[in-house]
Amino acid sequence: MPSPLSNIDLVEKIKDALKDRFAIDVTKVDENSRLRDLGVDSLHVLEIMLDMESELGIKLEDLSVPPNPSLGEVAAAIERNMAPSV
Amino acid sequence: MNQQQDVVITGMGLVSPIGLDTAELISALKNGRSGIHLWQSSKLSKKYPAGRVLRDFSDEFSKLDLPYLDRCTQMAVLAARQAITGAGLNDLSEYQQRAGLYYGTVRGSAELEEIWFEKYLVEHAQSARPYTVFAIMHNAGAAQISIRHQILGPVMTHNTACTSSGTAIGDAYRAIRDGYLDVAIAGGADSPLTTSTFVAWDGSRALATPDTQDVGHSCKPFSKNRTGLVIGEGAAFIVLESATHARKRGATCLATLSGYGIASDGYHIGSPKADGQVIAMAAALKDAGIQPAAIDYFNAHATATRGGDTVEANAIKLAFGEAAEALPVSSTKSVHGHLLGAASVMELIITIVAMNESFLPATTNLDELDPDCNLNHVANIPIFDRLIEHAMSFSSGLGGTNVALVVSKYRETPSTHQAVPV
Repeated sequence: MPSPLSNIDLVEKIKDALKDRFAIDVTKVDENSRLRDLGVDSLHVLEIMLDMESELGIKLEDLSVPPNPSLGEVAAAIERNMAPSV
Repeated sequence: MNQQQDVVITGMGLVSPIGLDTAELISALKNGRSGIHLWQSSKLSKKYPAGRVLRDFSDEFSKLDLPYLDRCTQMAVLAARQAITGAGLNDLSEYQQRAGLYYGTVRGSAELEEIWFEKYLVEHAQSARPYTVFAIMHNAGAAQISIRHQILGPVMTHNTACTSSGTAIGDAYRAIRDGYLDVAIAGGADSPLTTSTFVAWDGSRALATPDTQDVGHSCKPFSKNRTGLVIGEGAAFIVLESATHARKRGATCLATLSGYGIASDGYHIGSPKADGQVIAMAAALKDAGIQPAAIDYFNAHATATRGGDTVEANAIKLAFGEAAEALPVSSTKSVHGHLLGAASVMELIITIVAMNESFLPATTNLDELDPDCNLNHVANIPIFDRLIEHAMSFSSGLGGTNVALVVSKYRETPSTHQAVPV
């Protein structure tokens, strides 16, 4: 199991993905930014999460995120999948 | 009984092998510039002539948009935008359900589908990107245009082989004429320059071989030396409106769409029959309320296949009777190739620019006429300073659908179109 990343690390990784994959200016983006406001739809979010799967070497069993998520909420969804199962 | 509406064309847009707008198109037609180039795939040993648009359009779209748009849809969106903004329109939401879109395509987003199948075969990919299914569906182009321009009435996708955009235009015309719509966007797109398309067509032995002297001369409709059709890519759209609506908003009317005829062969999946073609041509003339002799230019379907050109030449003679002798005919596929889903609309736009510029576009590469295709051909070079009051553009699709469209010079005086009593 890879070492879990903090929510802050994951938000930074999502920002990198937004910049690299979709050429979005992330200088004013933080964990509270809503993805829809950046022109990002649910399928773009899905692709970012699948990118994280490859990058972090994890398998996201639960890809669900709240409607119109913030970056922090997407990070939390990824984090939830990385938590050791009990 | 309601009076039928006159239907006018107020916008035209295209992304084609011989021009990325109507000005480039006119120049290419007048100068006989060919858009046919060699196409090859690393997976195939043969090289093919193809009508190619030598430009990548991905820089026209954001990286958020691109995953949803393969090349076919990119060209469709750009050509439609050109037509719509050229007509002085953009967001059509104010029309609610009285604006419609009619889109024709044959192969749709074949290229992207092929890319993913290859990833499955080579990399054993078990899943595509999240967007792929929305990019490869056949109505993707229509949907993307309707979303961008807020077209909230009927948004239809026609797939009637080589007549796809012709039937799209025909249905749009009828919807406006009969009072269901005020505005319609109609046209088509295809991006068929893919390995699977060429493999499939090669199997039919219908494709042209590259001309040994100049690949740009490989498409030879009506010629004794024709070797087959040349597949092309591109997109083209027109904006149709009721004349009343266009006048009310002060739009520039480029032409009147005065007649539409459609008839099917019911004969053979791959071979055309003159009967259906004749009926479609006659129906379009009747719909326009004109005699055969009134047509000043005929843009033929003629793809340069051995059988197809002869059948069409016979159909023209039968439909036009004595008037066929003087009727100037050309197949402009000789310079742009066969644009499949965009073929009918591309050729209708050519017919309209010819009418407005008073010249007859030529069938190039017609040095030696096939005697079985004997007509009054505009051979090799255009004829200038020829007034065109009415013209017909004809298309015939594999499977047997035939479409004839009549365009007429726009006149301020309304026609006397009346609904047929029932």
